[in-house]
Amino acid sequence: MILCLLGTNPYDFSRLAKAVDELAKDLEEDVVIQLGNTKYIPKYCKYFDFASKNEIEKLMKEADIVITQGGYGSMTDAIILNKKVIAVPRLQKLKEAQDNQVELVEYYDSKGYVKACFDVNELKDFIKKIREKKIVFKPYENENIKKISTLIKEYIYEN
Amino acid sequence: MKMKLCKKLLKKNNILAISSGGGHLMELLSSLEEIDKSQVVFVVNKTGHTKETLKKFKHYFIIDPHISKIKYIINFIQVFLIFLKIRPNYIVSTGAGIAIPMILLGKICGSKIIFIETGARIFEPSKTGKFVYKYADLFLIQHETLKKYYPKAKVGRLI
Repeated sequence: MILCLLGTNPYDFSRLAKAVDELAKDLEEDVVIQLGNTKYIPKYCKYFDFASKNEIEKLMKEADIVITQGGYGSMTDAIILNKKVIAVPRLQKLKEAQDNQVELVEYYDSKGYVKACFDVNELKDFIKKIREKKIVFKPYENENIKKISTLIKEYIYEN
Repeated sequence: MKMKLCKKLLKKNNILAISSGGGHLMELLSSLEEIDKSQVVFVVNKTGHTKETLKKFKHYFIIDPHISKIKYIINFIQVFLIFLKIRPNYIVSTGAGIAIPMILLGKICGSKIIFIETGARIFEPSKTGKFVYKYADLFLIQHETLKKYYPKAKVGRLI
């Protein structure tokens, strides 16, 4: 199953939804899109607007490839689960986002955790290459620093 | 003097966690992983399935002021009432702008401010982060690259 996540961003991202929908037309496997606030209505795949964190996580575990917007939450969730992640940044100039997603996507791409995709026409080719193992991903590993939750616990309970 | 009086009215064990919905809320939930949730009250704006995500926790919904001045006033009234009710000793936030009125009110009344700069920012600080830095008692960042903007910050990892 291929899962596409558009997150909770208030801006429309029909460019990606449409591209994934058109991919689904030619694919035999299931494609599911979480649309969020995107208006495009898919014709060839299953879709829904929002789901809870748990439900999204469940879907992500079932998926083998996750195509996601370049949001921090969507990407890190998929990275920790060691999914094959294609990340498509929303572009400010196309009014797809208020904030810059490009630098974050490039950063994770440089670390090998995701495959950055700036042109949605390349998605099909990327999926094929991932299946043929021509595009490979680095498994996620913890960097050797304390967790933020630990730093906060220490600050609140040990001061 | 006023500050001291205020401080006495704060409830030692109460933690108020505030952010916008979506990715910021995911970061906030991870940041509070090691904190006893019976102490925590979440304050967020409603996006997508925040209600479902927060159903196990005490929470309040407020409006997202985004860029509207009038909405900032409404946000502040909501925030004021919630603050009076909770009187938190700690305010924890991941941003964005929605959290600023609460952070300022908390600071005036003597709450300790803990701010986590979103991991979505790698090379440039966020507007909210830059603003809150002066008031934060504990400021946490997720990328060493931001240290030059936040010299007093501690670096941690979310995952």
